[in-house]
Amino acid sequence: MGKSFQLVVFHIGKELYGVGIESVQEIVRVPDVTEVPEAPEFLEGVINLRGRVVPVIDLRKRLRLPGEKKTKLTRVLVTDPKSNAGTGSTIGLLVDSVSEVLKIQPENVEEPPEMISAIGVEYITGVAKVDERLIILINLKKVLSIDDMKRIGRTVSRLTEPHAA
Amino acid sequence: MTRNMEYLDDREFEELKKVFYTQAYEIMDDLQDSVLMLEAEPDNVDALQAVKRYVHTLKGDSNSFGLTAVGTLCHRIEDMLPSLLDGKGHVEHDAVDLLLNSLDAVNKLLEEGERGAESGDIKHIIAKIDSFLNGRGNPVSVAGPLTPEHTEYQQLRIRNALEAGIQLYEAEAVFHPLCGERSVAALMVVQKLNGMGQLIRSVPDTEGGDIDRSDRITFFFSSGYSVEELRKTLFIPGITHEITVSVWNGAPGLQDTSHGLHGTGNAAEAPGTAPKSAAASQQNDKSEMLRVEASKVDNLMNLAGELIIAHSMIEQIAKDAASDTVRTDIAARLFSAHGYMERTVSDMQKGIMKMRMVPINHLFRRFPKVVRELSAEKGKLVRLDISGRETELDKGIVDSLWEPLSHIIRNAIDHGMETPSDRRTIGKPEEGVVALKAFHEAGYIVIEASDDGKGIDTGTLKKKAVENGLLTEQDIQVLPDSGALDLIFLPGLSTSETVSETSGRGIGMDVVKSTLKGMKGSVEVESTPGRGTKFTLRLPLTLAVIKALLIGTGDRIYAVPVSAVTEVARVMQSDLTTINGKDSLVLRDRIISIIRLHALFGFPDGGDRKKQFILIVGIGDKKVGLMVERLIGQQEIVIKAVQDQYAGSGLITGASILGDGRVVLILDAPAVVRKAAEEESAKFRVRDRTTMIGDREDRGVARRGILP
Repeated sequence: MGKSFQLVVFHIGKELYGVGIESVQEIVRVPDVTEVPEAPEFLEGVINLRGRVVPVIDLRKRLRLPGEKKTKLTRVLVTDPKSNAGTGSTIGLLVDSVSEVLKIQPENVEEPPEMISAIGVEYITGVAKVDERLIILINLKKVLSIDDMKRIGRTVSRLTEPHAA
Repeated sequence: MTRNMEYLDDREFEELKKVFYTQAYEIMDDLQDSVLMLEAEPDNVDALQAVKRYVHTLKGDSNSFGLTAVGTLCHRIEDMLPSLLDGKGHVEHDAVDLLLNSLDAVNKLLEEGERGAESGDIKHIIAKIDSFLNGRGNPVSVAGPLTPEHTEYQQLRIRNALEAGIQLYEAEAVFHPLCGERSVAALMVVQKLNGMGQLIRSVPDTEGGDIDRSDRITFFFSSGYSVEELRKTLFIPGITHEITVSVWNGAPGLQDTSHGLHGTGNAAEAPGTAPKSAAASQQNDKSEMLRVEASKVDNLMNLAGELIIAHSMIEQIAKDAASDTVRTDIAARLFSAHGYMERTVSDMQKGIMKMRMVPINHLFRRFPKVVRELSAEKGKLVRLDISGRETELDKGIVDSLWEPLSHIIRNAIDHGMETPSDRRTIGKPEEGVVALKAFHEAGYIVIEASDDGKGIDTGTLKKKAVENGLLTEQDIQVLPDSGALDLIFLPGLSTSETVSETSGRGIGMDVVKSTLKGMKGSVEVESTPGRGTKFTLRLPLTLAVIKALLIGTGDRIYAVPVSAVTEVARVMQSDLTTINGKDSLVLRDRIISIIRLHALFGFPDGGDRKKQFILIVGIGDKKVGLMVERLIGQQEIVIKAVQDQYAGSGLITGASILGDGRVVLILDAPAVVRKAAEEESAKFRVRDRTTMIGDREDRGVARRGILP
């Protein structure tokens, strides 16, 4: 019996996803986004977060889920650079809506099954069952991994290795 | 640490330690410069004096700090200084070599000391110095850690005392920690001494500036009193703290009067009595310097940056107010306040920026040693010419330039420079020249590193590129020579046939390029076979604030550094001519190809095509016209860090925040020019991974041949 932990739960499409509350610095409405030319498709752009320029990644596109438009409920989850679940960076993640913060008992979390959702199993750390609802726990480290982005992205990052293509 | 440090608490000691090491490293840098200068100009008396003074100061500082290993080694180094010159005005190169080796050892000791590590063994290097001195029949000093040389007058006094049978003494007095005026204190001790005997000399000299920095003073004197009597007399409560008196044999200098006096001025032998030389007054300047942690200045710089943003917010409010007819008077007052604030903020920002500026000599001074060692190792004869040492640039930039620049210089010597015999065969002077030059140009600092070696063989580069799968044979056919040279910046290309120890350590020109790019700069290469190679590094003067032109296409706004724009023209579509199917502008008999901002970024056309603006963007000789629909104005913008790895783009060099809170991206002018040049030669493109990988799919036809 491990300790319970808290999840920020959000929607992308009909599915529920969650990340540990400690890796979220704040949740903001979508501000003006400045597009970055030649950027990978999943990079929504950059925003002004109280004087800091923060990149925003469209989590739906990042996970290669079918698209939907931005609505009033669309939010940006800002990762906490101090959290060791992230990559040490402040990154905005665009999600369809944020529903709640839930306390989860570890025994309610299962290993990710092979065929759970449209997204690759490598982006999932587990699945939490709460009142018959399934919450997919996102592996933020993997989602924000630069190597992984390079691999899948039509990226122009200066770090791109030509041989990786 | 020695006992005299005990009265300091930890924090005080840490501060003292910081000051000591900072100064010690500065002295080491100056010392190395002076040694190399002396080698180049053996008759430069100032350089020789400077070397002596620096070693002496370092010795004193290290001993009083408690780093006795450095003190001891410096003492031995002082012994060998007279051997640097052979007395006929020539430099003894083995002596210089040994001296430089010893200085390396000192550096190592300092680094170990700073880390708190055990001091390494210095026996080895001391043995070397000893055998060097013995080999020359030079006397080895027997006195304690003191300058061994005496002036003729001092020697006369010693001789007189010895002849009269008066005992010679050495007395060390440690000043009381609370005793402030050391020079006055020293005089009080001297007065006491004079009542009991005759003072021969003191170290440091009571009249020199050194005394105020020293925590102790050593007197050499003759006296008829006993050790115990002397010790009692010299103890002055509140002034002297510990007194050690011992019998002194008068050595060195008595037996060999020529020692230490090798044709140099006597007056300069005792530090402090030397006439105020340039370096001495420089030391006085240092005392008025304020040492401030870089992070404090950075913090101020950030605040000034925020202020600039706040200031442009006020401008925005003033503009809004001006458009409201009811509030025109407020608008006028706002504008006037805004103007006043603008000047102040701008002066303040410049002032803070200046604090961060240092002469590039901080960097250049490290190269003579590199060139000297490497050319000796490679059997090449190379002279290093440095110009523009005083050119100032941001401290942060200076520090990060060392690696890329030393890589270029090492390459120049290792691969570029021919051997002396090869040079003779082809009619070049045996001695090759590597030149480092720095100057300011339009908001940038430009550093040129050139050599007169064999140049870069583009044939070899092309071959390598094909071998490594970076290009195909067909690509090579159509690759112009200028493009071929740029291949050097591709990863995995080393021009040398054999990867050598020196330049082949995994870092290549691609790293040089990415380092420069990381600092918002650029690097270019020119080379003429048989004549040499020149690398031109261009960097913004400061990383924090730049003047920029704000331009727009559709709703999108971008910033272009003013320094990259040579001119702005307003044009009608009819002013443009079509050359090779591309829009071009004829400007003063020069054809400039036009690139449209929206097309460059792959955005839809912003509309009205009739009247547009063309920014002539130039990097070196290359110029292109950047066509934009809107010209919004000029503004100082604060460069904000963008997490490149997430939001990087080959055409963008950073971002800023405008007064209305909007994020604008700053165009990377060199990249835009490059991209335009690539579009021009559409048949072929050298793959530049920073800009071109992304649009691989768009240009599939051109790319397919290039990528595996």
